[in-house]
Amino acid sequence: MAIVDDNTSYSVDIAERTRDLVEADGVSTSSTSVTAGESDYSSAVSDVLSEDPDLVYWTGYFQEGGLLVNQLRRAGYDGDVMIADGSVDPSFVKIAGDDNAEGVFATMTQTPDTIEGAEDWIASYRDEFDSEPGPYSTQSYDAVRVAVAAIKDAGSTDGDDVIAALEDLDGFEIFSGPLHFTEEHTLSEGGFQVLVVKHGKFVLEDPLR
Amino acid sequence: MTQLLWDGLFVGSFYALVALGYSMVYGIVRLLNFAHGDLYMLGAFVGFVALSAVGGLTAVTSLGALALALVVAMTATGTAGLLIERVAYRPLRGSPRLAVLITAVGASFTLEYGIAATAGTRPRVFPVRLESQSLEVLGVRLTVAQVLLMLFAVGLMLGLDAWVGRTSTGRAMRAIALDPRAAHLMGINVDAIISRTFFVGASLAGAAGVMAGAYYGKIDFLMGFVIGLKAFTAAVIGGIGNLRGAMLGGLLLGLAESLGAHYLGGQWRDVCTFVLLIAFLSVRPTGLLGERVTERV
Repeated sequence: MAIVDDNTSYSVDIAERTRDLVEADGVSTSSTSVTAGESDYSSAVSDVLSEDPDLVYWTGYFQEGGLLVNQLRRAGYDGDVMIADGSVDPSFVKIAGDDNAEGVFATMTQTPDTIEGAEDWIASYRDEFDSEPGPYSTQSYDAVRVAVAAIKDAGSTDGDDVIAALEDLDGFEIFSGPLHFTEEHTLSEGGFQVLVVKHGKFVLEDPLR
Repeated sequence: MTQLLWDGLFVGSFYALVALGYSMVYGIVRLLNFAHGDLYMLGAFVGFVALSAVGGLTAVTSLGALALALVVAMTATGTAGLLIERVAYRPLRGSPRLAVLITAVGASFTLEYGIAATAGTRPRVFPVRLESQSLEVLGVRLTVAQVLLMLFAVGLMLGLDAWVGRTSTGRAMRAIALDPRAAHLMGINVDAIISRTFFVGASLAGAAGVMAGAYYGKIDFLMGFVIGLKAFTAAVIGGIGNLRGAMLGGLLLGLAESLGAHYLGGQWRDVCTFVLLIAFLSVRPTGLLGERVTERV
């Protein structure tokens, strides 16, 4: 597996965590970086091809991602490609070219489009705000609901009480499933999904439940 | 190894085309035209608009349309270069260099955000792409499009070299570079020659912009920034003010990046570029082919 990042901390972080996790599972990886804002990624492409990987994972944004996938495919790479959430954007497909983007996988947080059974919620969102929900609308909605539930449980708005109530939340239903907080106050499940490009659009491939 | 050399030379020929404009302008008016990279971006956008206006292209007509877009873009960026010189640089000729440097930065921002305001900040995808599958020649993976673009770039450079070396305009340019006042006394219309220099330098950048758009497919309003810095580095490596030096510097920089990225890792690519720039500025500021500069009084 070849991991390509764009030297920004967001992208390098995903790349390093991915590398550690898959190497723990015995997958051999290679890493390379490109510079954001440039157009020619032939040196990264050559590096990747020389490793003959089964999967290329791009962890940066869509502008460079589109170019990278385009140049990889043109150089004859026909293995799988996966991109991280920063590249999930309709422009990715346009920049890479329809044929080159087809079948590219993506890791992405849940968006209203990919939540099963969210049609009613989307409809009432439209009624309320007169616009389409954005990619993080469901997460904001969940965050407010969780805060309200914690304040109700605590019976006060005192910070420490609310934090204690949040820690005690067990199985509160949010869009990505029942909610639990870990010791470090992070989510026990990330709510990430795998998308795939089909006919030029990102569609849900695997909800990872 | 040969693959690395080829990749480096291909990228280097873009750097060289843009570096030429830097070097021409510096050679004649001793000015670093920081708006030069943005003229490359402007060329790409003019080419984009021209190609979109033609519309409905087939594989055969698209090459013709691309040639047309090149001509339109070169004319437009040339004119823009001329205007920038007239508005931002000529009124300040004779003032301290810092003042002109600042108007150059101003001209650069004007172009960048002028395009951002009119065309939007989202990247655009070129309507025509020079797509071709790669071939293996002597163990090197290359495409017909790359060969075509490099031949075109070499053609432009040879043309420029002949123009500067053989025509009367070229002779006048070289005279002004040597001594503007004496050139003026000898009956050379200095302003007109400087305008022509800006026109030609800018149109080369515009041509490079269209070529990059057609080859890579994506253009955006900040695309000229990085290449502007790299072309400046290339011009310094070759000896700023020296045209053959700019071509050589561009190719060398492309090679250095390609080899550096391979042997040190991709994240070191730009470090290689700018270490070279610093090294040349401190050890050999006149570059590889630059002549000794004597400070004029």
